Amino acid sequence: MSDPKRALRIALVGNPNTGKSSVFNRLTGLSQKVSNYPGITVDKLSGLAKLSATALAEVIDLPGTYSLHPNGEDERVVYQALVNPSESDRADVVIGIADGTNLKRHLFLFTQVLDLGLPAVLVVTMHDEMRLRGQSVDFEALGAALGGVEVVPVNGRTGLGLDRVKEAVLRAKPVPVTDRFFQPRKKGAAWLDEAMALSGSRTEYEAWLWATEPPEFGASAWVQQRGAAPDRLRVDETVQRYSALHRLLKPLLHLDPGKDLTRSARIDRVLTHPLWGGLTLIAVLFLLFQAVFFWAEGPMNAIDGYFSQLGAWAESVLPAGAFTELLANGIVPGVSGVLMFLPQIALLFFFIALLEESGYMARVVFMLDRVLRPFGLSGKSVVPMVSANACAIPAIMAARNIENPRERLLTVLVTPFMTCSARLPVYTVLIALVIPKVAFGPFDARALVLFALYALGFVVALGASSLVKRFVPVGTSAPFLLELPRYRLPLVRNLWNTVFQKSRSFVAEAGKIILAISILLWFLANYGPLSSAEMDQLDPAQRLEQSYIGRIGHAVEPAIRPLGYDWKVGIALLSSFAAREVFVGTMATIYAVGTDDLGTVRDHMAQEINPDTGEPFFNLAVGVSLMLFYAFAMQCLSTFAVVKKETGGWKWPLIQMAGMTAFAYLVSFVAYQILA
Amino acid sequence: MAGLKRLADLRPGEGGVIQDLCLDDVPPKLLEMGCLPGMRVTINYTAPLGDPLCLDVDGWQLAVRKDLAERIWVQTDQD
Repeated sequence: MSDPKRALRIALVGNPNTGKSSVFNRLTGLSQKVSNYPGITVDKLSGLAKLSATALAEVIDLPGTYSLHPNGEDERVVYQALVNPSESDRADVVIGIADGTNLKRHLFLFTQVLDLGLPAVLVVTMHDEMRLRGQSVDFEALGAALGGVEVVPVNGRTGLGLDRVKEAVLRAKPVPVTDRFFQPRKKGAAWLDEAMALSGSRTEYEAWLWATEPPEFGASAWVQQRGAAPDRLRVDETVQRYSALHRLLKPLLHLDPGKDLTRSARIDRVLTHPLWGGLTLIAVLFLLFQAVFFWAEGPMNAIDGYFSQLGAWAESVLPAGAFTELLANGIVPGVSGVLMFLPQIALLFFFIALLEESGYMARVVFMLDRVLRPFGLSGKSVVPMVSANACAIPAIMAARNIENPRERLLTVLVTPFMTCSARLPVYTVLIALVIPKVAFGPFDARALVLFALYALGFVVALGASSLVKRFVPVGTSAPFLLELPRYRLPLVRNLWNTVFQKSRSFVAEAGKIILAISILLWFLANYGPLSSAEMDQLDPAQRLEQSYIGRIGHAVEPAIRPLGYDWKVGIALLSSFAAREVFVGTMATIYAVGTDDLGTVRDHMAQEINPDTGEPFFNLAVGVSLMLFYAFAMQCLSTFAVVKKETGGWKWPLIQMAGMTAFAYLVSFVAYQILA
Repeated sequence: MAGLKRLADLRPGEGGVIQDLCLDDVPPKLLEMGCLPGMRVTINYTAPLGDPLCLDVDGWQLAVRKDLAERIWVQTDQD
């Protein structure tokens, strides 16, 4: 260790679906935190583990990978945490996690780690599953064959074996690097010494990895100049390593041939069946929506109610003044606007975690891949698109799982078309206002319109993707390779941890932006070019008109006239850029002024008269035009910020915002002109 | 029928041993996941539209798209 005062840093390394997160959750409990790796968008999950009475260690849960040669941004993190000497997170000890039913593939990664000369402990999970399959391994002999590594069987469900892991970590020493798994020198004699010197590598394998990495991280260009093909080198390593592991495992692994290995495959014959699989998928998605919309309603209303009371309370107790105003009408509603979505988002995360932990999500991806491909999307686009029905922000982050850069970009670009929950309050108010309460057979017209808006979001997302894909270069083709993990009963502890982490990062990330914009809007709505003494003399309706935002509303009115909107709607549209649901609040503010009664927003809006016609302002044409505008316009600065972060620049978020908003304008224009 | 076939042409339940892979055609990740020449793979089942395919590789399940399976040649079991 470089710094004796620094806590021991442990990295968890393993394939996806190995029970790695169970081990991590067991080791760290609730001390976990999510942060970002510098410069990239991958979440860094770390926590503290008490190894003994005196030793505390920082544990980092590295993204699951099959190899130290990275295939994507997530996997690059693993490479950097273990290899890059300048990486401040470089691990002192590695805990390798291996699924016992599939040791060869897991040891492929683990021996790469050993070849780096890092002290390591091997944890073998799923040995209950091994027993079911009639597999057994001599763990001690395995440790010896790996060059003196401690191999500890652990049960991720019960935590059995973890105490031994902690002891082993404290004892772990670098394993002498042997050439028994792979000999870099054999294939790279011509350049290896030079590569070691240039990269400052401590082992031959480290230099080998460096030499085969793409230019951003390593020296594949350099090695190409020396007549070697980096991909070829990578394959040579793979072949050599696997055959070494095959020889190593043969005497250690015992198989009872009578056992049935195909339980998951048999379940899958039903769950991916064209008919039964399809029906199951529809049922699962239906349940998910049911939960997100109906179970979350109570808590959402409770939060909303609580905050409006809090605002009123603050206004009544605190001395009147600008600060109280800001607190009661700017900050409190801003915080409320973020927290209100928390129940829905937490439920959504819960369901997605449930689907992922059980192994079913991989089947959904598998079944829908061919369906979504003609649109330029991947089966893996399903997770973001489903998540986007709650909120586009976590959904766009979920697109990181898509390896193919083009499919990932398209997913990020079209995901905001999906009907996020912030649109729901807007739709609810407008539908109640302009759609008559009639029934077509068993269907309520209002429910049908709402359903149609959801369907429209999805259809337009697919359409937009097939349009935009023409302009996105095919680029490097990352393969679609998807492990379909065994079905497993999800662990409550893992589910809870995921929901907790993701909800917390949603509140922190989206919260900052929504809060900041709420405060800005409050300022714009309460101050104007007039002096405050002059403003004070106006009644609230005039004051709004004279405020900065009122002026802006008037300024944009000519542009939105063709869509059927006036300057008041213009204000609502503009303020919706913070978050769409602000529409309802803004409408409430605008239309409540000048009326003393305590009617609902809808009542106030229904009473609004169009001065030109003498008819109600919010007629069918205006209502439909507004709903379509909200369906398609990219009115969410938080989404904009996330897209910028995920695509690494201004280009795509700007194109997205311009494209979506132009499309929304066009559709609303056509709809209004036809209906009016 | 016996002999060399493309993995994509096999039906569910059929399998064979992977032959030499052309490295320009297959991603290194496929090999790193254990799909190497000499490895036995079986088609477990396909997605509802016949694509992707779910393979059994060494006791675990891997989904690949058909276009990749067209580039993998296997020696089939029966003779």
